[in-house]
Amino acid sequence: MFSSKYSVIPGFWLSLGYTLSWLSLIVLLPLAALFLYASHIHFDQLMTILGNKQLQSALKLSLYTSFYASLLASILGVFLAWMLTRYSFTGKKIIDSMVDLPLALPTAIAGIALTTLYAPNGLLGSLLPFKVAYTPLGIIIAMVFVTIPFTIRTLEPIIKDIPYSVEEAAKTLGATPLQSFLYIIFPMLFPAWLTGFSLAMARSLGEYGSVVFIAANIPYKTEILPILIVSKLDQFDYTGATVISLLMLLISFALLFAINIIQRWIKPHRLIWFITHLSIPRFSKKKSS
Amino acid sequence: MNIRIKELNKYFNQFHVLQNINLDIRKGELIALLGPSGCGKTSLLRIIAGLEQPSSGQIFFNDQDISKKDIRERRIGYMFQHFALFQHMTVLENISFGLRVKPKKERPSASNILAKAEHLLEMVQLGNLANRYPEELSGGQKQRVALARALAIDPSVLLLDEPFSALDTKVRRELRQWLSNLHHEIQLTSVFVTHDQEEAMEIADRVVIMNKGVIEQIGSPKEILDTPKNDFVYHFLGETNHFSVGEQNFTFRPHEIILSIHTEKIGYFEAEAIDIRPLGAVTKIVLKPKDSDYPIEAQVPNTTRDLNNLNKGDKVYFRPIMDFEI
Repeated sequence: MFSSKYSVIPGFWLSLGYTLSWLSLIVLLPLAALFLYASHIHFDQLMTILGNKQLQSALKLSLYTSFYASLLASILGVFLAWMLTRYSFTGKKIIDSMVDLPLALPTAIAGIALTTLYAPNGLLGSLLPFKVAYTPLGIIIAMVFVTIPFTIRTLEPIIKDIPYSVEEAAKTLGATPLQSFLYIIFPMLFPAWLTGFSLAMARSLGEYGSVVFIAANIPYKTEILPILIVSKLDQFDYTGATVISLLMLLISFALLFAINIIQRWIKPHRLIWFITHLSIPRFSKKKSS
Repeated sequence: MNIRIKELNKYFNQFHVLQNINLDIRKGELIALLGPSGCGKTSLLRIIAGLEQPSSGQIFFNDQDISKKDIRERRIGYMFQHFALFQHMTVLENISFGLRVKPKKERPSASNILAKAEHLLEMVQLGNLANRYPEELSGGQKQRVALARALAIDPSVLLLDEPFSALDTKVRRELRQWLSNLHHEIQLTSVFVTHDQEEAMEIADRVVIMNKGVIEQIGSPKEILDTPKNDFVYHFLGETNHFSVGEQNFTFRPHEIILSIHTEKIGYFEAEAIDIRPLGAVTKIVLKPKDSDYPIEAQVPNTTRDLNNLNKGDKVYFRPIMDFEI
């Protein structure tokens, strides 16, 4: 690991030291401060804060809205990425640049725009038979808006790398479009898809700016964890805010770690093995002689 | 199965890539579509396969019009230039793919699928690589897997798109010969696309020479070499020399020449040997005729007498043995 072959960036130890110092200043120190502050909190106090019903419902809401939002964003991402790489049409360049807009736009603007659209008297909200703004559904929509660039941009290079002839080969062998997708395309896309999903999930969990407008932040109903943290801070309850932050940190880390593990284990060929088990007959693997 | 192509046209936007193509392919034949790149040969192959739709015209498989039929109903075996193997499946899974995706009522039992896949693996001489992944195979092995995969669905016709162009010369030669033998064994109607005239001449029963969307000539390798229909065919099939003296014009192949190092005989022309290259069975000699600015390439068997006495810069006398009037 520490053997330094020829590299364009010179001085392995120098670069490592430099990178680590900056990383510590920017990322590790603030996180350590969080832990340090939290270490002053008594265990009883901790349990009271964690046992709080408002916090628990916010946690539940945060988890399930960000899960559904990431799922939706990563599924829509497949279609959009596919369209942007495999088809050519007028205005493609414009759509392609628009994909990154949610990353550049202050999320508050997205939140305000979505709220205006989906509010009960808004342009879309007045047409829909159900309420969107000020409900968990609204939160999910805001999260999808913010996270969709991640899912598209992680899938695009992978789709570009799938040669068109592979799809044609499947077709000549008699595979239906659905079979081609399930057995050929999906296994190849899955690792990137999962990366997109986990990035979206991490981003959704922490999303504040856009959700704060569309959620209306009603405790027990539409209050997610980041909003709860800010409201604790507003009440000068630094201990409570710290505990929730720490909780979020641990959850995010656990999630990303778990997805990382899954990704290491699930290789496209394992996936095909899994899918094959579900629907088409398989044969016993013979030992090669 | 025989294939009949009738008045086929194909446009890509304004570009007329295939112009009124008529072609009969007999049952069990090995046909080469030969031509320079952009001549439309690959488009024709893709249209026969159903990967591309013709703008007009019909294709018959055994007198049945299949022009409108979906690619999956045509039951063709197709081999791609760059193999197009499924990277995430083992060799065995690749080969059995076509059988495993069949609708339930047509699909053979799991044990039959395995038996068939193994039989094909033996046929392409890859029995010991069943559980490898494509990335672990050499180019020649990959192409043989692709062939086995295409044959697994018992295709009525085998279509090959530049099957050897991604391989190195030695493997290409071996695989070409092997494919030719296999074709004689299984007698499957086959069409392959190539831009390499040597490849076409070596294994095809008949060669279809195409240029700019038109078929220039159809015939056996011998017919095409002996009686090329026009200038394009003649030039496409190999090196040619032009030489003119006074009113006389000669067009001939490098091997259609007699050399002599002795002084003038009747009908011989004087030249200087400016390069001598032994190439194995033949030796290539570049000549600069005395009365012409254009060099001539001569190929003589390396057993030719006096060849050892010939040095660069020596005087040589040559005579074209066949002149071809166009």
